[in-house]
Amino acid sequence: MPGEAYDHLMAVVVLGAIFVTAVTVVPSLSYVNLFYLDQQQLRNIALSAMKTVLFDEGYPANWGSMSGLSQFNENDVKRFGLAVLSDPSFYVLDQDKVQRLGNNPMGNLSYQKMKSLLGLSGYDFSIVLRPLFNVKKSVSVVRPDDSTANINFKANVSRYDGQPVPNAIVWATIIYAVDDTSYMTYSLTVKNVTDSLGRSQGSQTVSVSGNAKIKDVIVIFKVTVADRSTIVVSSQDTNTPNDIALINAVGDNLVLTIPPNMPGSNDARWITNIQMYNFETSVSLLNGSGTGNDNMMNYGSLNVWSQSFPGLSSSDPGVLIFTFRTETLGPGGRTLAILVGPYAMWGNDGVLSYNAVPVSSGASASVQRDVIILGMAYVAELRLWKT
Amino acid sequence: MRKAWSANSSKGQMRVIEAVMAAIIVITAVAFLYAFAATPSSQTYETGELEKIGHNVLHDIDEQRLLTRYVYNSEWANITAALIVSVPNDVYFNLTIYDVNGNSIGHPLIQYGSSQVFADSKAVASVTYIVSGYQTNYNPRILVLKLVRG
Repeated sequence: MPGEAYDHLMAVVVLGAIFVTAVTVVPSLSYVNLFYLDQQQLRNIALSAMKTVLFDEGYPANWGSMSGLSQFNENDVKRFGLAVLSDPSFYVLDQDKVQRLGNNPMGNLSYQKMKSLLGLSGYDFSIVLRPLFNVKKSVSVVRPDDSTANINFKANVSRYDGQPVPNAIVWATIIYAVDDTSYMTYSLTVKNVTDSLGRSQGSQTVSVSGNAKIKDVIVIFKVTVADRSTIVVSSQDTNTPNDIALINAVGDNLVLTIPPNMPGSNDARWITNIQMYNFETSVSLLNGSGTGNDNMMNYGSLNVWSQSFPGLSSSDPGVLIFTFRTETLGPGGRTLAILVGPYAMWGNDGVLSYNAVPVSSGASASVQRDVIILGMAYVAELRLWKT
Repeated sequence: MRKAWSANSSKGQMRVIEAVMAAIIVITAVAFLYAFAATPSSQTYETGELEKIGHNVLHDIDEQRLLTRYVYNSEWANITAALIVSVPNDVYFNLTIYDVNGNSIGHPLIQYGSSQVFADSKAVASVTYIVSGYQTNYNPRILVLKLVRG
């Protein structure tokens, strides 16, 4: 009788061991399948989300610009999508909606709100908009005297996997602000072609006569590969643009705001010049005297400046170049500073990142598409992973 | 009494062996089923994704009014460069252009990636895109873009 009990005990132990082993081994046998299933599920959801982001206008259809000069309220957006308004073409995005993704002084769409509108509970995602190709640029300015500036610039063009892009045409537009009887901004463009290693470089000397002085200098690169183009803005380091004003364009309106909590943000600054530049023509939108209350911004009652320029959004403005008369952090009193706007993408090597890419090595799915924003080609990438 | 106990012991041992064998059979069956109940090959999905990429790239180049210019002005280097910078980094392509009768128009090789990449790939996507003509000339061309991942 005790022997039988031992046998049954042994049977229970052995069966228990077999059960535990089965529970451990069987899932691992099917791990690859489960992994593929998981990946495929993520990919399907990412594809669906990307389709909504690129092809849907959202609701209201003009949600990116509906607030006009007022602060944007994300709760007014009932459905999300970046497609341009009333355009039958696919993959064309609305610049006003894209601007609501980045840090926008007039309000932006929060990550949680977008996630809710896309119905992605249980998942996290990131959206990156970047130029078709990578442009590494550098600019150095040497000033032998106040009236002369020697500008050296380099631009290396490559794919994102590091492969160089030869024969890319690099247009470098040098813009410099001149302190004279008026405060004007001038520009000249130099064309280069990348060599077999994707490198291009050039130099240019600009000078002014009389008592005029060259102040801020900025270089804007436009790179085209087989006429598919991208713009990268390079700034001289004497000024940090965001210290002076945050630029926002909503439809035909330009809105500038003084950034809070910046050194010197209490100082007055004047908009002396606004130009619309598309690498072929330059149109002056505004000329200010740079004194008195003429287009002045100041902390307090004048911390927002806005003006409407009818036809601005439909005229494909390229870039907008703002010249300010402002304080400088260093010695020398008031100086001139150039800012380029309005789109957030241009302030960061042309890349707009929305939410961080996951740092863990867990499964994620990525969908990538070519899109067009303001006539320029970009790559939109949506990456999705489980929370 | 000893005989009966011995018989019970043998029965017990047999039950253990039966249980072990049954468990082995069940586990083997489950493992066998899992091994064969594979997820549908991802090649189907992969081809679909590559087709979407191919159509997206051709459409965007066309949207910028460059595709017809490349094709009708025989800008083969430009169309190759435009496609290279437009497709994702791990995607290789081969483009062939036909007239409406299905005859190749005799352009140089428009390809990114070696022929081996195409030969070795298990999933090749093919996208057909038609352009009707350039400016006012109606002269359709059929673009067949083949894509693989490297």
